[in-house]
Amino acid sequence: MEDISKYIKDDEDIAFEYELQNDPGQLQTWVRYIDRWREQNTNGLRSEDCILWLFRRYVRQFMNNVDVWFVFINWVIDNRIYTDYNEVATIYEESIRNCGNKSEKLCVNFLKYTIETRDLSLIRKSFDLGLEFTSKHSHYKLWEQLLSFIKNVLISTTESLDKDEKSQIEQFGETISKVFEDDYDIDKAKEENNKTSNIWVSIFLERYLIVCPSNELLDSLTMLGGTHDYKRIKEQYDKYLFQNRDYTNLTRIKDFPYSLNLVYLRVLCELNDKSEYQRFVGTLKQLYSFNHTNLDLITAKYLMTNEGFEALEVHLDTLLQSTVNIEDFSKVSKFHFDFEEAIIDQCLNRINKKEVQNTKYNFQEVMKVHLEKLQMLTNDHSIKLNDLYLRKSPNNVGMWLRRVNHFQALKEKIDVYVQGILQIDPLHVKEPGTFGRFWCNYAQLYWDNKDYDSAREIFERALKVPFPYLKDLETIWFSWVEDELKLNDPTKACLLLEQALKIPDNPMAILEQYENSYGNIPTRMVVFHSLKLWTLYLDLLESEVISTLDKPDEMYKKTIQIYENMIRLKIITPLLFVSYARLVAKYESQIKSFQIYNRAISSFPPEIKYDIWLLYLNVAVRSTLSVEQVRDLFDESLSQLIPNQINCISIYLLNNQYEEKQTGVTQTTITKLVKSAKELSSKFVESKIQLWDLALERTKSHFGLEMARPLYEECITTIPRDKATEYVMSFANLEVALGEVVRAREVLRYGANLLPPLRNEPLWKYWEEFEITNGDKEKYKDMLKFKKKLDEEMKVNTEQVSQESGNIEFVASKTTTHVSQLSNNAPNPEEINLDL
Amino acid sequence: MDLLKDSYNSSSEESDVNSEENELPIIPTEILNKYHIAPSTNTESNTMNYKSSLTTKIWNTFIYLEWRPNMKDRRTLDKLLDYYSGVMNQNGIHLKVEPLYWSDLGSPYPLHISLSPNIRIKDIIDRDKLFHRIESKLDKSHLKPFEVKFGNVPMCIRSMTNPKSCFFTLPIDTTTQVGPITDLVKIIEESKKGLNLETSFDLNISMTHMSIGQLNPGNGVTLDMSAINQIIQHSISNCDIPKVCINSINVDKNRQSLSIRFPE
Repeated sequence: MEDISKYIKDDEDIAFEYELQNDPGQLQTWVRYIDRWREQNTNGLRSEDCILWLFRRYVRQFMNNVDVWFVFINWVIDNRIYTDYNEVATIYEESIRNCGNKSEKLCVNFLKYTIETRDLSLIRKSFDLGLEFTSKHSHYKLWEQLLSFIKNVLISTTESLDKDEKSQIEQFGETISKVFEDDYDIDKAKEENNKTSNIWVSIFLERYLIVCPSNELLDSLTMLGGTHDYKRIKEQYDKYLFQNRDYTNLTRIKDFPYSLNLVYLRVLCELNDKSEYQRFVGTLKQLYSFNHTNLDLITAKYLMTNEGFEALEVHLDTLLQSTVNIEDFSKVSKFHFDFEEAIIDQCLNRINKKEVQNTKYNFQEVMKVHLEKLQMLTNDHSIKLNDLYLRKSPNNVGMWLRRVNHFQALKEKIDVYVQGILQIDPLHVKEPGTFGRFWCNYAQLYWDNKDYDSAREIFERALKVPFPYLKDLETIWFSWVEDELKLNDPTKACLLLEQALKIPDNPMAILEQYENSYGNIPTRMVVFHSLKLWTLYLDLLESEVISTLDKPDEMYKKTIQIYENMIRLKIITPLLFVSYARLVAKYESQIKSFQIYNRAISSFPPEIKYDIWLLYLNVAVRSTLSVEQVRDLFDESLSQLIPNQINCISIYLLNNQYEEKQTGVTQTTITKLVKSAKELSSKFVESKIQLWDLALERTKSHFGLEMARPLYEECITTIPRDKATEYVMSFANLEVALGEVVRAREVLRYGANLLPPLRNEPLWKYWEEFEITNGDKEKYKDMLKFKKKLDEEMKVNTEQVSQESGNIEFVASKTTTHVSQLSNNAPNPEEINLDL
Repeated sequence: MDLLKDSYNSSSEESDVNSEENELPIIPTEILNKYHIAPSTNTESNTMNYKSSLTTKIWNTFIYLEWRPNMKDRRTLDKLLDYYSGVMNQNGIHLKVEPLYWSDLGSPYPLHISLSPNIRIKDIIDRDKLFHRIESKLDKSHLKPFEVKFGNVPMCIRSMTNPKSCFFTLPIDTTTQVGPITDLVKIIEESKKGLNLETSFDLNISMTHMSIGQLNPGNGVTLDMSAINQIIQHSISNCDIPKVCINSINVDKNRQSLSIRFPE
């Protein structure tokens, strides 16, 4: 019997005790009694033990009353009566068992309490008790709590461990370290894995899967996937997803989230179910064919753990050779590098710990192999990247050329050329000339190594390629010829070019057909039209003509024939025409060369004609042609060029030079200069002025100043006004020099009229100085008055000027185009107020 | 062009500079096969193809054994041709036998033993069928790579396409004719059965040969084959004839040559 005096302390307690003895079922009395003690406890007058003693009596009195238990438990928890949470759990259990099927609220609270303790066995106990004492319809309340705990606390913790804390290298290191162990056994390892897996969760999820609504099935399976309880995961996945392990039903599997499929794949990997794994991964590759690198890397992990490192290396090498985009390539590449680094690291660790070998591995040897592999990976990285680009676009010749540069050994380079030539489709090469260059580079390797026959065989085979661009064939012929020339036998080179440039019977018709054929006519049919090859041929022959002393005739005739062929094919350039003419002049006669110049002139448009004429006339003036013949040539050139508005200044000057040489400076030569200046188009002001200057200079120096007067008059009236004032001043100078001040003043007056004073400042300045020197006060005043008058008269009315000269005006729009716009009298936005 | 060909013969000697170690790999047959025939420069046919194929399209093919003489082989053949050119010259035939193992541009050129004339087929499907049949029959056959033996008396044969010109040939020895050549011809005969050929053809095993040179007389000269062959028979050369190893049969398809290897 307890010592009751410990608890009953005053009269009021005794009164409550009497009252309870009389009627122990009086709930209100108990509540008041307990409240009183709790209040005393708050004031420090009563201990928790006392209250607990009273609560125990209270709950014993109302064993089946949920609310009573609830108050009691809450008090126990709130006041932390027990340090051991099991004591609280015992109270909960007692309450639930006593309250029976009314205890739903207690069950939910009990589970909540146990979840907070994180004691998994207690949680399971409370959950099981809850299921037992609550109705089926309320089970969901318990599941909700439990699943929330699993999802937010248990699974996420596992995932974060998986994802964040360990780098790929660390994970590989752990796996490799396990595989290195003497007693490593895959099945044992799986068992070990199972020990660390979250079986507690998986068991609950397995139970939940039985009752869970269908719309939560996939979520629950995903959660289960996070438990690492692979055996159970597989059982449940097989049961709910892959009935009878039928992986062939693609449409069904396609509906599962990708992550679920990956979980299942990982499970198969962890369980070392090789055949199942291969079947399933095959299915997934079919499903996710657009991007199966992730699957391949999961397989790589599988191989690392289950099949050994060699199989993994082979797998990764194959992957690197088959990826078709940079992202996948980088993933696989990183995986491979990480693996090699991890295995080297693990070997090094063991060697450092004096463990050079165990029964399965010699770590020094393993390290050596993988160091070599790592070095190879590093060296080959750019080649493998190039592989990737070439897989994407095998017809990218630039990539193939880069690939050649990745290799040092001759035979390796040759291999690349061979692969390239076999893989490239010439019709899909986009850059003209590149594939031809590729062939040439290939041939060049043989040529440089003095295997000339093979090089020639390559060159000739290259000529059979159906290149869509002429540039490729040009490149090949050109390179071949250049190579033959390196052997110092130009005859071979010439013979090759002769073959390349064979002109068909109807060349122009073939060219026309080719241009309109859209690739249906092979390019090799128009090689005869290659200016590059013809020019090369000419260079060759001309150098032969120069160097061949014994038979220059034959070579010369051949060269002439080449020029004629080029003229016939209309591919000859003006410069080549001139070379032709010079060659003929050197080896035949000047007269014949002039015929060539004439043919050239007739072959080109006026702008080019001018240059040819100039070269022609330069030769002609030094030739044995009679003066009349040369004059005729000058006349003819000008008659062709002037109507076409060509600036013939150089021809005029040459003509003048020639005439002065023949006759000296005469009135005729000056007249001719004046005539030239006048007939030259007004577009070429500077050239006109150049001619006037020459005419004035020659006149003044050879015929005296007076003779220059009419020339000045003519010059000032024909050249533009803004240029004329300079000549006005020069004319005035001339008059002053002749003592004709009045005439000079008149000339200046004329000049002043040409432009408004504001734009004619040099003249007015000159005139002022002129009057100061030569005039008087009156004349000076007259000049100023005249200037003022001109200032007023010559104000520019821009609108009037524009209208007079038919220029575009900026005026307000006077037209209206739309009825709706009639009311809108907005001014023309283009209108500009010119403040002139 | 002969000049070009002639001028290159000497370059073989330049190749001597190559030592054994520095020897570069020969150009793979795959490359030669891929670009076996150059795009046609026949203006008329191209124009016709380009405009529209109003006429029925004919698919050409040709079946043959190919041999790529190496530098040493070419030298041996050079000696042989030089010898017979000399013999004919002594007998009043002043013609040079032009080698066929050099192309017109002076690069090495393969020689071949024809196993068919130019076959003209009316249907592309039949052309492909012919190839597949030969391939399949060869695969099932017991044919192994073999060495072609030549008779030691060369023979001049008039060209079918240019009657003025004639080929200088090495006839295939009877043992080779009776053996692998007969087997191959049988395979071709069986493969062409039922195909829609423009003109049918028969294969004359006894006439199988390898042309190694060509005689091109000037205008207005017609060569007397029997006279030339008699001259040859009376002055047989002691030169060794190169050994020719054959391990595949070639069939032309469009501009490619397809090699079908004999089962190993």
